[in-house]
Amino acid sequence: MVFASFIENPSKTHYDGEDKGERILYVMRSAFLTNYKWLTLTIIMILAPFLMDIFLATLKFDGRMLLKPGFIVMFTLFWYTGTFGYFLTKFLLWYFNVYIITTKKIVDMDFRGLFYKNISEATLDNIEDVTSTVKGTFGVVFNIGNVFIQTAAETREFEFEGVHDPAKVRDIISDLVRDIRDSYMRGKGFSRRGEILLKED
Amino acid sequence: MTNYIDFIAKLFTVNGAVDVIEFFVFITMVIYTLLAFILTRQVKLMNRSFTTPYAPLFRTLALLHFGASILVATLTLFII
Repeated sequence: MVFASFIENPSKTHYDGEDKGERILYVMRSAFLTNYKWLTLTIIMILAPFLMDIFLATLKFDGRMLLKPGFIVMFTLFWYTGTFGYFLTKFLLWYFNVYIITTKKIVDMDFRGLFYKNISEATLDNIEDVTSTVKGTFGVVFNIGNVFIQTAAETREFEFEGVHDPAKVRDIISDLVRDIRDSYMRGKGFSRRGEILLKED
Repeated sequence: MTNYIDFIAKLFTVNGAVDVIEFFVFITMVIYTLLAFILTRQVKLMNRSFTTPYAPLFRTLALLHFGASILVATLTLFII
């Protein structure tokens, strides 16, 4: 679903830089509720012409309308085109600002405005610490918060902001990190619990 | 020269001021059309960075938006 902020095993989804054999496990975004500010403004912009056009039509000089009716219609169409453009831009920025967890790494994709793109990634085995926080009335009521990930990679910190159920996200990442470290240790001759196995001569 | 002075003088009348406003609104529409075009490029970049099943939908919406802004600016040019 296009408005989903937590997708498990997404189909037909790929990101730039995906390795061969790598599979996307989770795609997360800020909770859709965090968009309430621009959504409210969009609704106001949709309703504004109903009052604006009445005001523009009543502007008179010498007993005649100051603005041509055709111009008022065009201005209204332009207003709605701009409103749609504003909505589309904000929606796309929300949609494409994603946090991706794959079988190998975590990826933080940031688009800010039309002229900024930043992609950071860190392999799962480089993750050192995962913390989740929920603060404020809005966060507590709707269970929306941040997940802070500390890594040993070049990007030292990742922050997944405004995600729904941050405790679940923290748990998912922690489990994946544990699983990948366990499989790494088994490959190196360690037991599942990290004990050194006696090698046969 | 006289026509030029008359033109400048007309701008300081009510009707002249309305003409100036309509002209600047048209310029705003042209600038907005450029932004709409940039948005189509941005959607292409976003779809390339993160491909989803909704990529064709976003591309179509961006192109429709660009087309609508061109249409509105062009029609306004005939009206003002």
